[in-house]
Amino acid sequence: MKLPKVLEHEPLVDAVFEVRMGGNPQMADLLPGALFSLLAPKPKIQRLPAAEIPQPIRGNDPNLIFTPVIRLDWGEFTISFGDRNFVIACKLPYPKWSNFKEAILKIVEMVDQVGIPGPVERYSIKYVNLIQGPTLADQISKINLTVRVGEVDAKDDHLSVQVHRREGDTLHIISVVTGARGKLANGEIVFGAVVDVDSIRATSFSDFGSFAAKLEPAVETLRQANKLKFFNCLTEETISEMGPKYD
Amino acid sequence: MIEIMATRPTYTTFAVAMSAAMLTAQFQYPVREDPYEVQQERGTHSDFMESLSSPIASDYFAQQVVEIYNSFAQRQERLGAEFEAAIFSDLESLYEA
Repeated sequence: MKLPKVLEHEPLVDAVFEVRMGGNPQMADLLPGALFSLLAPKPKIQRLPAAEIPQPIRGNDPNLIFTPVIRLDWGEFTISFGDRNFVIACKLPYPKWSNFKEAILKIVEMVDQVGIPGPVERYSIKYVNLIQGPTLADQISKINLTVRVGEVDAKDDHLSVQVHRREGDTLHIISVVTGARGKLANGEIVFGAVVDVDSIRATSFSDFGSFAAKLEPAVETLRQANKLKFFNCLTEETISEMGPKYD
Repeated sequence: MIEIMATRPTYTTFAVAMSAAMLTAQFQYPVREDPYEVQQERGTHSDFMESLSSPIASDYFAQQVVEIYNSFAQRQERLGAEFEAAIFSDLESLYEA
């Protein structure tokens, strides 16, 4: 399948890169201050609601263990820190993959300079898109999806589907949720189906430095795998409506 | 001095002792054990997807925790010179059983 280079009508609502570590790296304590001193221009620091929950409680709850507690607002990106993870997210409009990748590599290099202890367990790329459609039937028809449960053929229904597909060392979690309502940056209310492709690669790097040194080609292949999964979720008509531009 | 220590409100002593225990990692929260769980990998954190799945609950909970802390903070008052002198005159033995 030939993939578009860019889309004229970008359906993206969230694009993130995350690294999770093992052990007790105390990333939320160590990294915000260190990165604040290294980044230019200086980011704004924001304490997130989960920071009010005591760390021992967060650490024992699987729903909270990777919830960010501190955020740096840095230009086109935000960098959020949990106790064992950090998340780089794009602000909208999406700054495109080349800029996002550059920011990922730069921030990972800075984290490496801090000398965080512990193994890197996984890293991931997640792209969330809102495929606009005024009705449920319209939303489902735009997605390359067939759901039948018993005698129910879901064509004009609310549905939430999540598929975990493992391919080698990469796990793709593909989620489709219909009936989403969103508010665009210009205030316009839109309806549509959420198509979320989360590509997670397990690693066995014993320290952050080894991970950082090999990230550049690895994150590119992960992004391309993620992109392929997303476009495979759409019908040809849906892709055409988005105004694809090819090389 | 012993009489003054004995008349101090017990909740203050408990709070100080608990904080100290937490700081030295002696206080253990019970490990959460759910009777049933789904054996699936958890996905990447995304603010957008979090807001879709739990638009109110997490922020509401965090807000309640903040209000509890604020309530404690607003009701703090100095113990007074006599209490403080009693506490700080022998701080090391304060936590001995």
